Amino acid sequence: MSTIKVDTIKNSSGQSEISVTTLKADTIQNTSGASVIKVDTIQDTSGKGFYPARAWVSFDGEGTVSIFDDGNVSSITDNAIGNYTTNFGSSFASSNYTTVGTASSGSGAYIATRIFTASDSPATGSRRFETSNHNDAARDVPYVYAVFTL
Amino acid sequence: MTKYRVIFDDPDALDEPTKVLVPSQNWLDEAMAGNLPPIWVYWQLQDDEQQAIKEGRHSTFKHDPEKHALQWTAPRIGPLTEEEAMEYLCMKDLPRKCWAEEHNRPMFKIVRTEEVPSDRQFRNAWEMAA
Repeated sequence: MSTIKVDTIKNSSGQSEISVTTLKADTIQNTSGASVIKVDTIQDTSGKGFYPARAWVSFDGEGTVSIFDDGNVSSITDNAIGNYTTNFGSSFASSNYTTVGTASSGSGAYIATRIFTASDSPATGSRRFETSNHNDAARDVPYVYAVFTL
Repeated sequence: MTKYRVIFDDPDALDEPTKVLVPSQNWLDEAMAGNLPPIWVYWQLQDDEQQAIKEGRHSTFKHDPEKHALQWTAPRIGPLTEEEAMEYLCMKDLPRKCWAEEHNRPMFKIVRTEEVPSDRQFRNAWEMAA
């Protein structure tokens, strides 16, 4: 049995914070069958936090630009050669989120990515960045990956 | 995969090449399932952020928590057709000046994917046709 359906889990004193060493399940759902779990923070049993990505995207930056897959992204904008904007499905709570990215030419002949170095802080609803070759010149590449977290 | 793209010019950056907006299929699926908040939720956040930029406090900007939470807590608007979802996306992700202000030519157009050139040799010279 690998499905647990509950509305509330409490310990014997009535507190709803429970520490477990190992929780094994294929699916955790609420009583209506939805598999969305809402929490404010995720921690291990020692209290260390996990900080998952709030948005990510992988796309083809060559030809007619297209998205391979994404999470919390409503669209990307092809601005120019090697220059793109990721528009988030839901905005970040603050402008101080982190962006990391990488890109691949597929052939290995030119591989480099830098995040567009605008002087202002990033918008909470979108992030513009650039892919460039080893000479720092803007370049379209077929595999672009970006992750955003706060 | 969606058959649409949006080509547009940013009225604040007319020297830049014409841009192409590529919708996320995952987001379109959510839109067609009826899981989006009213568009004003995003506009309210954009307005607050623009105000922070004007006042020079964007580097430490944080959204009002209640307004920010409306992205998930506001009543959903119900299922959209793909075409309606594209219009919603334009109002969400294009610069607002593109569609909210009058210009002497169209600033954006929803097109079929095959209408966007796949040859990027002259990508930085792209302009919207009249």
